[in-house]
Amino acid sequence: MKKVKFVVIPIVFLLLLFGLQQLLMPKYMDGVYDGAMPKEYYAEPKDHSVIFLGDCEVYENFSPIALWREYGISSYIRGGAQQLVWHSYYLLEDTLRYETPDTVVLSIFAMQYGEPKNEAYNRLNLDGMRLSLSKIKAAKASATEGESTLSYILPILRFHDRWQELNTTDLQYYFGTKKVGHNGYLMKNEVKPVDYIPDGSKKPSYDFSSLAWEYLDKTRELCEKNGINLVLIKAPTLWPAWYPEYETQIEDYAAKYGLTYFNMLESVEEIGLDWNTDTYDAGNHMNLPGAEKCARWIGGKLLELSSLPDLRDNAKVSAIWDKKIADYERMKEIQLAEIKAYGKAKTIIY
Amino acid sequence: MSFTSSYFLLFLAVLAVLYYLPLRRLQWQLLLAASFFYYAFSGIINLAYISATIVTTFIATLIMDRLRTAEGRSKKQIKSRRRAVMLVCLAVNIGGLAVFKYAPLRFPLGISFYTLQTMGYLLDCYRAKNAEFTERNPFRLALFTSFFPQLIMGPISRFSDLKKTLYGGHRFNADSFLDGFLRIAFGMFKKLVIADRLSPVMKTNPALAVFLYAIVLYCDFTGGIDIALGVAKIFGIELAENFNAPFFSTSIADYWRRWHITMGAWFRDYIFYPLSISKPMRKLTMRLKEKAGDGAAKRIPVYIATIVTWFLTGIWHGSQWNYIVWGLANGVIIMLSQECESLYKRFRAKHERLTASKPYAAFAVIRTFVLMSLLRGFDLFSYPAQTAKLNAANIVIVAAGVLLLAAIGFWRHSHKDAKPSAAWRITAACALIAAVLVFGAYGLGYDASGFIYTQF
Repeated sequence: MKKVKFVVIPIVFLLLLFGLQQLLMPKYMDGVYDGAMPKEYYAEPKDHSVIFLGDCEVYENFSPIALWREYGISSYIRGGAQQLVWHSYYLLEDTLRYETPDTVVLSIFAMQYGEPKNEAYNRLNLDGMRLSLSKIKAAKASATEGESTLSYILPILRFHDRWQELNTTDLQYYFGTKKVGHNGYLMKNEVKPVDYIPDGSKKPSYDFSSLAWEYLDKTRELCEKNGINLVLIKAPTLWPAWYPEYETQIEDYAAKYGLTYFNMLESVEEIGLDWNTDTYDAGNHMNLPGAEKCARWIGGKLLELSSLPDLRDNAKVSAIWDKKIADYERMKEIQLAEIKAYGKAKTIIY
Repeated sequence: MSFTSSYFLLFLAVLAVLYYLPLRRLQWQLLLAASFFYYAFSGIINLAYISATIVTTFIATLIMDRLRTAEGRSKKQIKSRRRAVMLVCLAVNIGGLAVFKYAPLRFPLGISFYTLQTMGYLLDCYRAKNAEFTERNPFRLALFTSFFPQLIMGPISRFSDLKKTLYGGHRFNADSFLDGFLRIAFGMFKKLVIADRLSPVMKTNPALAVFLYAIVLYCDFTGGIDIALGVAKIFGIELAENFNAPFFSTSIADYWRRWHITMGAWFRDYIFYPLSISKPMRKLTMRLKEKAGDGAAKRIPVYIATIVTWFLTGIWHGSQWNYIVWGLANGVIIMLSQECESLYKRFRAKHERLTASKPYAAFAVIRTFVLMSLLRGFDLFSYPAQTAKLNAANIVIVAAGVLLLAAIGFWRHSHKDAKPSAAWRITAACALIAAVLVFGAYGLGYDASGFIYTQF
């Protein structure tokens, strides 16, 4: 009996602690929705031909639904707010635990960030990752001063102090959060035309850091090892500035390793972007029409590079995508109605 | 590697597994290696200082031992040579401590504690009636000096006590392990939930500062000692208790019998008593007896010894003037209360019912708490000014924590020998860990503060 107590009480305690941790973890269901997206990947069927990696340059600028509708390409965006190159690398490593896509599209915008920047962004990108060696390595590589790797394994160590700020959202989504992304795409339907393009400030150096290069190399090597076609892209956003010096370095790298690189800023007309209608924040990110145009354009380019399967004939897969399209269209209608009524979309989660 | 860091807990877990499983036959050797490994985290150079203390003490005690049986020398010669060796070793080590206290050098962590402990051993060897007391294995002496749970803030152990359990042969005992675990959890609670939450704001309100500091210091120091004792217990090793409900003290002298007990005992056994019965003191007593009568002859030498002891206690705590004044003030108050003892006796005799009542006992406890808190103003004085404030939620947490400590204190006071069942202890440990995990002041947004007593 005594031995039973020695075992049962700690087990009950650990379960309670796990429950407590669940309560204290941020749910990202009010305000900062980006943080809820990384974990959505795990609930998806793992049959993606294309995986996008990067920051808002991918998860706000490409619509996988449009890619499916137009070409029957099954894709997913494993994006995250201010996703840095090492975040992307470890997310790819994590993805390969579940599936091996034909193509990985990597946004190279984050190459300009040479070192871990901000704990909040680390959290937005990594908290949603399932516990794995890749997650631990990602936490280690990303840690800013004072951050502990252990707190990514036991998030209560980081979020314990949230007992002071718990609200109804924490109770409402205790047993599970709603969906935010549409295969990793964060839908925005507002329209704000480009009226001004801020000049990029002068920088003391335009050279990418050795750390950024190291992880780009690792990403390339991992793709090579797994027979994945790696495509580098710069999304067609007008600001923050993408300097010519950055462009040269990426072009040289792509040429050196025989990689395909698309700077979509050079193809704005071909994509069909209209800066009066296709951006929701004056050129920093695309809105839904812009993201659909970008998706259609990149889909065409990817098909030129390799023979990605058209899965629309597959009834099982199509049924799943039909459901996704229905959710997508419903959200689009809701947002457009809200914009009409309030000038701003309020609904993101579904 | 702070007691409250995750690295320390990992270090402890690995060590416990090695201690009870593959290296069960090499327990004390493992603890020695672990202690040096642990201490190396405070700076590799610190290993050189502690090694110097170990080597000098080991050599001095061996020489003193050999001198016992030196042929061709009189007892007096042997005694004087042994004393010379002891004094040289004392001078080297206490001198070294003084250099670090007063010179602008980086203060080696724990040097005040391990120097006192090792010098206590040296003096015990000097006083020992036979040679058996002296440890002849330098590595065993090294473990006594460097045993990691007590290395940086005590308790200050005596070799004769610690050696009974320090040198291994321990089988895993779930009950003892649970006691140790509970003690560690309780220490963490005091340190992380109360002390570290209150510490950044304790000086914000000048009227409350000395009282808040009393709570912070108590939770910080007893929390650290609880962890030290709990860690030792996990390895089957008994360290001396350093506190006995000090806030239940009814006088300053009583307080010092309950607070930092091992330090008080060290100064009592190695400074106060030897000084009180030293030759010059005995001469002084005789002279006073002749010239000023029995009363003065009894009191004045004791008071001199008291003042010297408290002066040294103050210096041991810190080289700044405020520590010296704090030490002397303690000594003066103890002397004054001794002087007033006859008055107290008369008062107690006259008001027997009143002084035996619970409200009077409460008054005595509160009076001592206030007085001790005010005395600590000399210590608090050196802390930088603070402007931070606690919000209502944090005040509730601190207040609930303090009330819990008080309730446990009262329970222990009234159930001295009671030991709760294993189920209760497991539940208590789990609850304390949960409280520490959720309400502890740690992680980003908090400055990881070390234990206050590690600076002494």
